[in-house]
Amino acid sequence: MSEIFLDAALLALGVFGWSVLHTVARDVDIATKVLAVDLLGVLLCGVAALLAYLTGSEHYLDIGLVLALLAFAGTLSPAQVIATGRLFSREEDR
Amino acid sequence: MIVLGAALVIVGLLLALIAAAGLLRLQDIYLRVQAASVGSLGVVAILLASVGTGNGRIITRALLVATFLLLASPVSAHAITRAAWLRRVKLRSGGRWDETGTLAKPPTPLPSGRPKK
Repeated sequence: MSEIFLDAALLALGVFGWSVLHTVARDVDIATKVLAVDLLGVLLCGVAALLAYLTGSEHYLDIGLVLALLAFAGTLSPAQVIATGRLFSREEDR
Repeated sequence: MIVLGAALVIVGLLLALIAAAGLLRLQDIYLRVQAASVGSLGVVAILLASVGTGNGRIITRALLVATFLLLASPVSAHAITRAAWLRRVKLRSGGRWDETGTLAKPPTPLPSGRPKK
């Protein structure tokens, strides 16, 4: 894969990430915002993968793995807070 | 292998374009969650394009990240949609396609912050 091609792919992912960030800023629904932040984290994981192919270094994929894990946790915990108002359920809720 | 990698990057970028456009164009959370799931499939395609590099360490880690994304993205999509449904976020169609009728009922009350005696 040539360098110009990977640069263009990085630029395209940046443009898509910018439009997703626009959704985060402008939407009124909190669940949609959380969904867009999740998609932004996953797209950043793709950016890390493209950087790994560009430089030939596998350490960028470690960044991608951490970003994927953080996007997962950063979606599940706001979803729980939106659904029940609490992050952890207590005894008296049941 | 290089051609396969480039083709997978192009497929992934197309899927990410569909996700970004869907997030801008679709109207409510129940429709947008479909577009976001397509976006993580696109990133999985970009990660599978690591076969184009021919570097074994990059391919191994990319497959690890791709497996995790394939496992995690349906779970997070379901969690956020369930949260929106429990808070009774309105449908774009205004309830015409609400087959179970639960969206018209009031949401489950949030537990109060103060513990009960």
